[in-house]
Amino acid sequence: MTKKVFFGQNDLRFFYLKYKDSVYYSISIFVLVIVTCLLLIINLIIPQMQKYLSIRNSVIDQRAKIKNINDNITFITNLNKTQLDSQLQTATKALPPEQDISGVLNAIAASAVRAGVTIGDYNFSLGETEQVSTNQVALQSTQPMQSISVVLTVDGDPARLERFLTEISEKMPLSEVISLDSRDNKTTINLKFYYKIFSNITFKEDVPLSPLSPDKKQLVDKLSMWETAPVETDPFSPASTSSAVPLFE
Amino acid sequence: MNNSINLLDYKNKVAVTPSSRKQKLLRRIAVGLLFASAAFSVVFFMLITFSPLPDLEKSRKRASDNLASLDKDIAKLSLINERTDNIKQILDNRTKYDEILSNFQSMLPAGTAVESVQMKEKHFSVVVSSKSLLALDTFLKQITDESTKEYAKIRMTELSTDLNNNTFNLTLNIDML
Repeated sequence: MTKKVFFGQNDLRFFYLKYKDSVYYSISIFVLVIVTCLLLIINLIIPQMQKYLSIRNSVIDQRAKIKNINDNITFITNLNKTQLDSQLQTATKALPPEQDISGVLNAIAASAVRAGVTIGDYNFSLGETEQVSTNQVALQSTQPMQSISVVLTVDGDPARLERFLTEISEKMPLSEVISLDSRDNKTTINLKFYYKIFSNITFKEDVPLSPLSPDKKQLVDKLSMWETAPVETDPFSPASTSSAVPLFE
Repeated sequence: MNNSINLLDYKNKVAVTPSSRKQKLLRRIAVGLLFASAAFSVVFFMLITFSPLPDLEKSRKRASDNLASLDKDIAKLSLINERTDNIKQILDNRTKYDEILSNFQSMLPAGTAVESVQMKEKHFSVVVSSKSLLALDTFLKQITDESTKEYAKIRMTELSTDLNNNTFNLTLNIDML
């Protein structure tokens, strides 16, 4: 009597011996194999295929990102650093990151000298804060534009007044005339000088960098021609010669 | 002879017949599926194990570190872009009072002068004086001819006489386009 290894061993052996030569045995084996294969395909192969496709997409993304990063590195490395610094200096002079009172006074004084007008009383005040939105893709900036309001009195005929307005519009920091009131060759001008705090810069490394557009380059070149040399005459001191035009009375 | 090999005597004798067509088909399907499952699982396993993704991630990190060393120049470029956008907006939107005055002055005939002018945004008010009404009339004709180019509205609000200076003063309120 053989020892039972497990419960039902003899029964299984009986059924095996009874049916092993029959067609049912082979069919059941084939069906079992087919079912097992289908289960393997559903639970193992299809998930593996999905994983492979996901890895393939990640590989494509990574390759594109690496290409963009390398292109950005090449672009930045080939930039003319001197020109970049000069452009930045011009741009920040035109729109300073903080109140530039000396720049404002210099712009007013230089404009007055060139227009041949004299400056009377003036006062400064902090202006309104204006929200400005920019449309840069890779960089976002939401710092508002701020201004210094200046009200000043200018003595001069209409031709000189017009010249003064032209000169002040081409000085830095950039200004805007809000209103003017002229009577008897004496004009009260309300000006706004703009400034804007530097914003936090967020940069996405895989977004391609691009150089300044031709329009912006042209603008910076135009602004660099407006750069004001400091006025040699101290605007707060009286004129030393009769030919000098007194700036401030 | 073969029956004696199997000692078990069973009631329903199942004859051993050669495999039918359907059985052969089933066998082929089973073998095919088995082979396909094995082959695909091995192939996908190899593709996943030997994918270039880990190396690419390392390369990307190296490239990122290289780019990070150039962040000052990138910041400068972005600042220039930002500043020029704002500068362009200021320059486009500000009212050119000097040009307005210059155009206005160019329309003044001889013998007329601007006594006073107030300007704010797109509106300005001006007092033109002259010893001659004819000169003022010429000026009015000139300005109304030019009005469609620059001015949306011109209103004559006052015509007065200054007996001390023997002048006529014409007050105009003008809205720009």
